[in-house]
Amino acid sequence: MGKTIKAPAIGVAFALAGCGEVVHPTPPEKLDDRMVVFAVLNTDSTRHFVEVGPADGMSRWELTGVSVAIYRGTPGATGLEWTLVASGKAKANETGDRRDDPCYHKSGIVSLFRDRIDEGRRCVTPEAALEPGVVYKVEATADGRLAASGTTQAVGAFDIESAVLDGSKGKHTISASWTESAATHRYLMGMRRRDSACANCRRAWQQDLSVTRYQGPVPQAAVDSAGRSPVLDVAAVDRHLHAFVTTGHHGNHGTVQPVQNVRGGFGVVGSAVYRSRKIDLNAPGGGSGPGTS
Amino acid sequence: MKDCCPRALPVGLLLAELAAVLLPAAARGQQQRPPESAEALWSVLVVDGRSGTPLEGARVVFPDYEVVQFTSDLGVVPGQGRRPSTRLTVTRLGYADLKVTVAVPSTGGEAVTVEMERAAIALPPLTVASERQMTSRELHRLIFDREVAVGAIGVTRTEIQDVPPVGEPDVFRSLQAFAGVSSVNDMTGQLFVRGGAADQVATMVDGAPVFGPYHMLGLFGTFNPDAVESVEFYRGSIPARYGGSLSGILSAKHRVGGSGGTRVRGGLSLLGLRVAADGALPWGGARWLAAARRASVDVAGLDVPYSFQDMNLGVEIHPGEEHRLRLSAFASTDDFEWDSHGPAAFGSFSSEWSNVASSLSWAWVRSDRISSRVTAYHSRYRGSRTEGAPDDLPPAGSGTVSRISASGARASLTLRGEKSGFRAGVGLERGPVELRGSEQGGYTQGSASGTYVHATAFVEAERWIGPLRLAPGVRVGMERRSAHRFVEPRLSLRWQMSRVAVSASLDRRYQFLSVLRDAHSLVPGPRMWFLHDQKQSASAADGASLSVDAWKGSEWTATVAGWVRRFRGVPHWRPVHSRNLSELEFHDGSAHGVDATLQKHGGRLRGWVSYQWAVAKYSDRNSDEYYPRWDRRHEAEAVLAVDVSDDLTASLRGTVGSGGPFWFPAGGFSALRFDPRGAGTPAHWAGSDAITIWSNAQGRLPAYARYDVSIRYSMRWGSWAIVPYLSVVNVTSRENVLYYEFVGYRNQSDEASGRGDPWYQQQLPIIPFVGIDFRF
Repeated sequence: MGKTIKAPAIGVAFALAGCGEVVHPTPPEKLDDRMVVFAVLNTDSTRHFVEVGPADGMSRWELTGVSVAIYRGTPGATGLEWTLVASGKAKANETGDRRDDPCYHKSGIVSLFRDRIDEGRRCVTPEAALEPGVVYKVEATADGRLAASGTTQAVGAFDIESAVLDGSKGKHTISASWTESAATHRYLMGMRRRDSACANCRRAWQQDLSVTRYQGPVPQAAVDSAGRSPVLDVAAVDRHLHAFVTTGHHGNHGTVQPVQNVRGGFGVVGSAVYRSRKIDLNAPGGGSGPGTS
Repeated sequence: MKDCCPRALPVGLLLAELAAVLLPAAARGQQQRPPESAEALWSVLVVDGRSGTPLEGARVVFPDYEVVQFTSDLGVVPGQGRRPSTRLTVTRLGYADLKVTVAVPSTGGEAVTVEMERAAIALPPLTVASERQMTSRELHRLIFDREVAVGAIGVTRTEIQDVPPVGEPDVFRSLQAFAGVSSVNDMTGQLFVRGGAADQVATMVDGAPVFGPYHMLGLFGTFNPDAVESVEFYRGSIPARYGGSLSGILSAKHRVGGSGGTRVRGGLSLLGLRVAADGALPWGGARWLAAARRASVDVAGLDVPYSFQDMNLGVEIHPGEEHRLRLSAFASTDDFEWDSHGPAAFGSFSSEWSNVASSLSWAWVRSDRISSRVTAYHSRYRGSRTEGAPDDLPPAGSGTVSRISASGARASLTLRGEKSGFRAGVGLERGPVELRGSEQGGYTQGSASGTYVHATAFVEAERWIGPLRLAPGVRVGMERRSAHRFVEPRLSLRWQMSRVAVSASLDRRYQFLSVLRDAHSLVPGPRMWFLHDQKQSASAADGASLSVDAWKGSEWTATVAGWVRRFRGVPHWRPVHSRNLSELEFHDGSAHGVDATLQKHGGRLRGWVSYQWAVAKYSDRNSDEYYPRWDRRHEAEAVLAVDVSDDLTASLRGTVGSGGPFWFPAGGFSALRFDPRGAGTPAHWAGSDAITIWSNAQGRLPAYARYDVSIRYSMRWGSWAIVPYLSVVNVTSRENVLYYEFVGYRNQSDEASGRGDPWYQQQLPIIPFVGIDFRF
């Protein structure tokens, strides 16, 4: 009799052990004193957009005293010696409106890269004319934060020589070539619709190339997306920026950080030069050409 | 957090119902046992020939009367007949078979004593017929009697099926439910044994290593449950004949057919279809097995397209009475590609991996005292993962690839004496190992490639001194690439009494191959193996363990074990600025714990209850201590199955544990993606990956609890049987935390107040699975 009473009681108690509140842990007040730096130097321009943000909590910690310096590296007896060529400080955003931040409008080369602007980042725009092939160091500092820095070899100018889209529906090929860019690691090539911005849209078709030409197939979806006036985009990038944009992932399957080169912090210091050109259409036989679907 | 108690109530009621039904049944079972001496004029007492200890559970056959009985707790069976003499056949695991003719006592009430001789080191494949599947208790006893290995357990198909399946019955998830084995979360079937990492458990099938023994990004194991006869699992203390892993050995054995006709069994589930056929061939006593499984799924909660296949093949031939050849082959592939062509252009994640493992073994049993075995094997593994590369990039050359192609051979000779045993062997294994990261979509930067050559020799000895069984052993060898010579001494002993045994073990182990894993982030996917280099040529572990084993009757066993371990040179990769292999460090650590298991191996109610308390910690090169993800301090498990009727079986698995460690996320940043379509326009708010930044501070996840239930109903028509089943995972729908990200709140309304539940990813929600098993 005793057993028949105890057994159900034990069973119920065991089941109940899975109940109760889930008590979440409390993180330390300040988790990190590092910063995130995004800097893409551009030899086409004298103004360089550098974003600096806190590594912890995105919006919980406002950075103060943010400044950025760009140094030019010259070979010395013990390696590269650094000479300051430009510096700047983050201006106070008097309106408090993020849209008044110059980086928000994505001016300059950074606009080539899709990202998500996070609150708490500060924008600094040091000005200097940079020389292709030279190694530059970008260093960011802020009050109470570890200095973060990274180096990049500035890539040079180039020109797109030709861009032709051939073929009929489902069998398109694109032929493009461009001149060589000094100190470039890879070329990122894509196709898009002319005069059309794209926010929150599907991922674009693109190619990652080590040579200055491309002749190959293009998916019909990419052709349709580019419309009747497609444009070819080519960005010459250094190896750090290339590694950053082609690695890393986030999802329900875990987070893998992209390859980064910022010492003392996170993010990337890279270099890129961008060119675009209208694509010539060549649809033989009057068949179904680009954008006709 | 919502209260789950109302939903938990049915589980409790189910348990209560099971217990109420079963305990009286157990009592009825005892009442139904045949009277031992009330009606018999004489009896047979079976004892250990050396110690005189009565042996329970011995099978006693009276061929003259066609009566089969099993000895009681006191080693007694009632005698049969009143002829002057009668023949007896007595068998028991761990003892030599005995056929005798005994004189029947003329005086009523007397007993005939039969002494059995121990078979000190039994070779199970040579002594266990495959006509009938070994029961859980038999396997348990077999492993226990064969050698002194603290923490060794066996799992049969029954245990695998009794654990409510997550999709399909699984060997690995069944083993996770035993004491001494931890699971870090619901999403992985990996085995963390006694403070060791998952890659410190080697997996083998018929003697061939399997380097990627998981399907579904690690969700469950790669072995088709219909193709496996049994699994032997060594936890912490490993015999000298096995090498190359610090914490455990999982050795699976393919099933082969019986002497009858062809049989087919399989299953159809939400995951896919599996089929296994076995039978006999008309020559050489050959028996065979062929099995295949295919799944193509889009798992709820993961939102990913996924497919996998595996194949098993086993052939066993008896070319002579003393010889046996066994050919085994296993292959598996997993293919996963996350199509990121959604509105939000998150980075891509694709992965695939495959195994091919095969072996050919020859066993020669010259007599009961001399036997030998030679095995040649080959195992190939390839795993790749690509993260964040543009979708349309050609896959060749992108991502990170891990490759192993291991070939080897081993030979052993076993001598068995009355009070001693001896086994010695040699082995040679060679394998190129490659871990190569690329610029595009790389999980890692840099490469670590090389070819290892392991030449090893081992000796296992055994000596009975009264009730004390002393078993020293040693494995020595050399790894040619690093010129690392190693000696792995081992000493085990057991004090064995009639119902209780106390065992102890000391051992040292080395491991030359490890898996690269990001300590910060939970990243499921294929294993990325690398070969240790000159900086740290091997990881090492020293351990001591003590266990008390007890058993009662033919169904109950209980084990309590305590263990202490020390680790040296264990890989730790916590990349911050880059994902370069140069960030890899090797740390020292320690672990200790106590675990206990109570198991009922058969009957209407069967299952086990286990509890583990364990601590594992490591120190980095700054001597700062940290806790590995598998440092779950408390974990209690219960797996109960009840045959409600001849056709209906209900099962429950309950797990309650403390939370494991994690690294606090400090914040995050957005990964850049090349996309000129936004040139000159305001920034996009969505369209890029949000990358977590991990801090150097650790916390612990909330306490964990999960209950799974299943029912199976068997329908039979002649030789056909169809068994539909329903299982429900996390039946109480408790929201166990998988990980935290960013510093944010689960409910947006909490953002303003700054108070509320932090954002977290939930582990498995409540998920029902249905399927059908069949056989004919």
